Amino acid sequence: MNALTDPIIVMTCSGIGKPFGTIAREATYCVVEDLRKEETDTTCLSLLVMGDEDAIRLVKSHRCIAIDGCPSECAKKNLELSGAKLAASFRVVDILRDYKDLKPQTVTFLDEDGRRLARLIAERVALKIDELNRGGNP
Amino acid sequence: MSEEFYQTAADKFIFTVKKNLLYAENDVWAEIKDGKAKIGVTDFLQRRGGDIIFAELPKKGSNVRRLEEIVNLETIKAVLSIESPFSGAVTEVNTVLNDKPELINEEPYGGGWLVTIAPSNLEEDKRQLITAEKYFELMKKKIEDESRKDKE
Amino acid sequence: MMSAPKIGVVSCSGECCVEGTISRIATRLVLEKLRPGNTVTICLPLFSTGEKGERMFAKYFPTIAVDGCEKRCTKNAIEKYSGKTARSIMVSDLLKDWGLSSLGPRRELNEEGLKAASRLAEEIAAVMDDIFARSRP
Repeated sequence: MNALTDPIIVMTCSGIGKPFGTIAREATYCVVEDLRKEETDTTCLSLLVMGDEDAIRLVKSHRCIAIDGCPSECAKKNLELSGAKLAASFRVVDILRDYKDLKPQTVTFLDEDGRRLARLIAERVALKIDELNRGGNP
Repeated sequence: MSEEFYQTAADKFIFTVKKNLLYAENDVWAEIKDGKAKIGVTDFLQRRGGDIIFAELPKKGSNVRRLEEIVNLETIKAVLSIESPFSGAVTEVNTVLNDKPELINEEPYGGGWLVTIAPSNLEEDKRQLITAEKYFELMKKKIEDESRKDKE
Repeated sequence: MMSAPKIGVVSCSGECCVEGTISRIATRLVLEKLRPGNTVTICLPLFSTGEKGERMFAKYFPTIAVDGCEKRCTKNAIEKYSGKTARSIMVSDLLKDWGLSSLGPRRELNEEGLKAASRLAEEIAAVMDDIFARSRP
């Protein structure tokens, strides 16, 4: 946990079957470790899914942002099921539509297009975090 | 097996074929009602193709010939060209897919329908289609062939 | 339908720690390189939200749970929703047994981390071979 009293918790699906899951994971790390390091934190989606008390307490007591790979929206759904304060959600597959030239192909290790897309998504999430911290939305 | 669908499992994937539709061997389904044909892609095609990012649909009123490309579905891996099973005029287009192409993956036989065509040679073109039962058998064979290819 | 025998490999992919990343990469290496025809990866988030195919597979086929840490989210999820796992691997224990540490940040493994992932992948593949051998008549 960082020093701020009300960090935003960024959760990712980390789906293992598609590039989207790896991109969502990298985008999350980009937000919580690079772009908005002081204002955010993350925890394992698996912990939430299995009802870990600490994880549930964390997402219920802080605003959360879900970064999902695909329309299955596993992170968003699990946050909602846990009673989290879901402030925003993003899907890699939606943002990919804005960047037709990017064709991420790999899953295990991201290729260049995957990394670029992850960064682009992270930047959008970072802007959302700024908006939330200025008092916009819940 | 449900009342509405034939289904088969391969690994973790469950492939469904909706009963009471007609099918083209290239994985397109057709529902004929009041002389018009609503078409879409099968569960098998959407699963093999992957998440659909864009659906490029024809304009309402445009004409199409049987086996001519009518829709392009772009996934992260490839562009899938969907051939029309009918000649005729496009009377309706599922414009919801412009914003939600994932409906093709989520509801291939329902909300993911593509277009409706007023066929100009309905009976003749219909004869080229197969029943759901036959398509189900064909699909199982396609799955088996792919599985054998993966093994090699 | 004739096909190669399959085993489901389910990884925790834990985002919080490097062991989660190692689990994830090792599982992918098994799928892509070591046992490509025999491995089915189950996506844990999808599995947990009730995806029918993932749960059915885990119910009827042997599964190996690969967990990063002692919380054992993967093993617990499979046992909760589908049934007993064929084998359960805890990465943090294995790494300790192998005397491995300093494997890189959770986001991107360093050279030692990649070696650990490869070694874990071999371990998973060996477990798969053992399960296949035991299930032969």
